[in-house]
Amino acid sequence: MQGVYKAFVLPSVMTIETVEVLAAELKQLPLSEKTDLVLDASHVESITTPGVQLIASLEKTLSAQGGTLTINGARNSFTRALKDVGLESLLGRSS
Amino acid sequence: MADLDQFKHVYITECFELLADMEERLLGLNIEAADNEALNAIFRCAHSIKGGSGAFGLDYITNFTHVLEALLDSMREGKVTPSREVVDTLLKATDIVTQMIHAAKDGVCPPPELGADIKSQLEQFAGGEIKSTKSATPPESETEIDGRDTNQRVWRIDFAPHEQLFSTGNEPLLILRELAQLGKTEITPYTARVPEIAYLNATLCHICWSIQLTTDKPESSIREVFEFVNDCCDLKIEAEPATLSISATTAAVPQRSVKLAPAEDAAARVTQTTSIRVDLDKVDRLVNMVGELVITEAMLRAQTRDFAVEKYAGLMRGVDELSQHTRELQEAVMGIRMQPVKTIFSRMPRIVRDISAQLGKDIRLVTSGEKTEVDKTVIEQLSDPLMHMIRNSCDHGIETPDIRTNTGKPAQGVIYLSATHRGGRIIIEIRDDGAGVNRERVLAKAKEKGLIAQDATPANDEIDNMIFMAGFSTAEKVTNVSGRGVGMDVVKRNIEGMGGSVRVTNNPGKGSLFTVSLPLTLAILDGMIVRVGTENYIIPITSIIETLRPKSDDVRPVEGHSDVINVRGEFVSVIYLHRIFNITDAQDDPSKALVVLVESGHQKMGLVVDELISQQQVVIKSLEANADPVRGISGATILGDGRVSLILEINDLAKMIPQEPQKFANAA
Repeated sequence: MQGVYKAFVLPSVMTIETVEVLAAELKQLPLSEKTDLVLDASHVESITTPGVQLIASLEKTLSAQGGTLTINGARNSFTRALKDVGLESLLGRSS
Repeated sequence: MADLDQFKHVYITECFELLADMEERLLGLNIEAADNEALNAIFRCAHSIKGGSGAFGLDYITNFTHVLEALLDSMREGKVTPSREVVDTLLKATDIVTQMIHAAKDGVCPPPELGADIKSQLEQFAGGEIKSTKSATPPESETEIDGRDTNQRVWRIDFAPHEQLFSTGNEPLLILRELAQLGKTEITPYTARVPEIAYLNATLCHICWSIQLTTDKPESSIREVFEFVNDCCDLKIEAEPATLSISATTAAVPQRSVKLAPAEDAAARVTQTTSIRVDLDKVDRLVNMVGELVITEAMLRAQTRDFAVEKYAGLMRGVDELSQHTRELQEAVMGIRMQPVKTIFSRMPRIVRDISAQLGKDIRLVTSGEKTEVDKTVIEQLSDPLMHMIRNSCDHGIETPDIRTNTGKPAQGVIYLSATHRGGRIIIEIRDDGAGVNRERVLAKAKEKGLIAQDATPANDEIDNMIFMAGFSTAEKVTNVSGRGVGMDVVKRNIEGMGGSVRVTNNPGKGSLFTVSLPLTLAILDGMIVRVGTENYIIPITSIIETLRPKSDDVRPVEGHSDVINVRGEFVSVIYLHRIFNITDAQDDPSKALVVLVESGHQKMGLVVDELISQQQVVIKSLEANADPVRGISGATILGDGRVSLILEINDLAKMIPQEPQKFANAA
């Protein structure tokens, strides 16, 4: 069965100050079974652990439903943050 | 965002504490032989402020403290030698950070030029321009370990943050990056506790890490990285036994299977937290509730006072036990608000340093008894008077180096500041080895300003204490340090406003000693209950000198002014409380009533009351929340019989007297 393709543009700041609002937005996404979600990280300038954790949570949710998470357009700072907390695996399918 | 505001509030509070600590350590830094431990501690303060600022997006603080941190780091490494100029600049930098923290507290962005000059000085001392914080993380190649180093050890670090870690302003990403600067890290995150998005509370930390670190640095360096999260994480740091003093094969050590079950492990581990941060409002509420309990206990005791013990033995025993427990509870709760005077003492070295430089004097401040505790409310109100007395000692007490040398003293003057508990009060002493109070000059000035009669011949002790009279100053010139004559009288009034006293002991040519005595708390007061007509009032015991019934001849009217009474040759103004508070059925004749002689500042006055009822410790209830200020009244209390009684504000009553008593004496 073909998954449902969805895209979401991440904001420029993904820190403790913004994650609550971002999480609320992501909770609104209709993540039905086998959703293939693409996150556009090209605008992300600043990301800290709460932001990374949010992506990890999203990945866990999609994975439990048989879906996938892809991160596109990640800048160096984004990639570096994920690597530095040991979660570069989240970039696994990035392009 | 309410939670975030709360986290930010905690961060800001901690920043002020860190800045105070930093300033104190900088002032205590031995320039000739700077102790590395002290430099490390100063560095950690700056580092912690920087770390938290990043988490709250306070980039202006991050950028400034990054430069500050870089200089401190160079000092730690011995690349920059501490000098007076460097320390001065670092002190100015703490001032700038303080201003920035205040701006963050107020939710405003400081002007971009704030601290630019100091930042540039810091950079110069650090040896050139410092890389921006964004490039502060070393490139990956820098974290590579030199395989030829034979001191490499492999450490296993289990780092399980508590959920509230983010709220403390700490950021695991920065911690992991800092760890990576110590050597080569292999980081294994555990995301088992991270909930699915629908259940995620994004402000809580759910990730744990197990890190394998290969480094030549000692364990203390690793622990230093986690120093500021010790209270909000479970941390285990262990050297891999088989890899102690390993060689080039370090990198090839197989990664062990890490058995970290974060949720279970974290729960099972013993929390090492020994203190918690509690909002002051909550403590104040607790103090108020205990105050109510004390009043209720007093009422209960009053109600059962006349009960026959043999008939109500159980009840009476219960009331006795309740009294005892209430007292213990009150002491315990008041203890929560007690703070060491160090919080204000630690500000004084900076003041002495700045004033010394300003006045061209060499002054050393020696403090002792910093751990002596007193109620937070006293601490808050003590700061200004203490600061003024220290300024006064620097300006008027300690002489310039040449004068000191000419009089056989060491060029460097010393001010001793100490605190101790004595008789249920806190005693603070400010002693200097300066010139002492110049009695001739004080007496001449007092006469010149009309503060005393021209023919008055006061005793030495009285002359010394004239420096506390309003408008008195012997300073030859008005400086911004002191000498405006608005200082010591305000100091005395403020201290007396807290139920305290201040006196000076003078040793001409050798120095002076200021002794401040204060109650340990402002929530409880030792008071004398007096009756005026049908009303009861409380007079603070500390203000009372004596009680007397004057002969009718001793009471003299003065036209246009209050009456005065002759107390052993001294004329004292009389205050008729029933006239001030409009009580109709009170005794109007002092010779038939009682006069309670009280003192406010340098001024004595007699309060006319009908009866002294009893001496009692009372719980002070503020009137400010429910009523406009009433002149002459500082607060209220509830007595054992349930009646509300007003507490007299002696300083206010003193202001109601039109002239100084000495002038009445002349008139009489």
